[in-house]
Amino acid sequence: MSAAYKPVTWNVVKLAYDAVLVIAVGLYIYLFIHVAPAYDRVTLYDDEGMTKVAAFGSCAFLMFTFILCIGPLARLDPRFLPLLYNRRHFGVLTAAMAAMHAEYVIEWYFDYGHMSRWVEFLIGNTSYGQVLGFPFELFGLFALIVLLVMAATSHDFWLRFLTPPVWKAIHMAAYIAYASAVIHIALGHLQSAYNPVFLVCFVIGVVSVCVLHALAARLDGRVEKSPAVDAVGAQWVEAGRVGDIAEGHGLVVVLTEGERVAIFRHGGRLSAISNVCAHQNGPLGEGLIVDGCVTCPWHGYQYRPEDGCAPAPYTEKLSTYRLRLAGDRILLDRHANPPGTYVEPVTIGGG
Amino acid sequence: MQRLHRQAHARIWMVLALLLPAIIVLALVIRQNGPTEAPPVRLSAPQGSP
Repeated sequence: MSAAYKPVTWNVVKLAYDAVLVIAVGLYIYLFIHVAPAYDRVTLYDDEGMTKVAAFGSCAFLMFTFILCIGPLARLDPRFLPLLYNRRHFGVLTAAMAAMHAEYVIEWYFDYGHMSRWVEFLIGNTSYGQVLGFPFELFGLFALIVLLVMAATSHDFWLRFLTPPVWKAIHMAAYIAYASAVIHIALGHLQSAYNPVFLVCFVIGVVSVCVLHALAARLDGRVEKSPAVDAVGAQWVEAGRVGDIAEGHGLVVVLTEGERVAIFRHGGRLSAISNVCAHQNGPLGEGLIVDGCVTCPWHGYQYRPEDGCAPAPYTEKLSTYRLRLAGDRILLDRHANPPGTYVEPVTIGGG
Repeated sequence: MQRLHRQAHARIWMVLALLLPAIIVLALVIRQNGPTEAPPVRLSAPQGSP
């Protein structure tokens, strides 16, 4: 983990970020409920409860859309990285907005029967055999459950307890939840809405998320497939040329077994460590050398390139790899050393 | 260690990038619109109501 950057504990940046977030969301809700109706000549809600349903629902969806844009934006342009570092609180607030939306929906539509309002909610619409009129509420309920699970497991305790691969797999359910939210809106609000503002925002948001993720996936392919690794004997493989790596940068090499190795050039030397960050499996090879350490582009976790160890007081360790130079060709030992093993860096032009 | 979630991520978004716009288009196609020419008819209150 980074000794300079504190992504989990509270700091001034995080406090400022959260303050801006809460003020922006509060302002949106206030304007939607108290100011916008005075200018709306198209969609007039009959009751303040309906207005609150629309306010919290639209806010939750727009926030969800923005959250999903942060990841690819940060990969395409490092200036968005501060948003990525503090994304968790954004997600928790989104889950809270979605829960408020659900609460107002239940209160407005399902709180007048003899049965429990949740039972009314689940059996109130059974038109499963048709597209128009399909119980779209269930898609919203699924998205809400996923958001709440993600919010509940967002703390680093759960990351360590579940291990990064399992935690990451659980949190990738956000994509399915987003698709579910899109269906929820498309079959619900979109069928009765006559105000074009939300429709335009909705379409632009969904298309932006799709395009940004497609662009980021394309970038992944470029970064990880180049250069091709050619076998040089059973143990050593050619990983590229010295000129392929700029000072302070890394090069990601994909071995034939699927393992990814990040080779870094630092102070005129080369070192190789696993490309997978111990925190959330971020792509280390796309990070930079900061203060002599490989710094993960996702959350700023740091590792010494020589031994793959996080600087004190942190204890994360990564596998290291041996390197050799043959002229300007970089040769990589395909067998990983145990995490934390020191490997003498190769000096460029050192013979 | 391999980064399998990155491959899964790319595959999921390849599907969603086609699916989500298709859902929106479908929702707009099946959307029902009321008649625009007919004026709204105001219902009179029942006799004897306050």
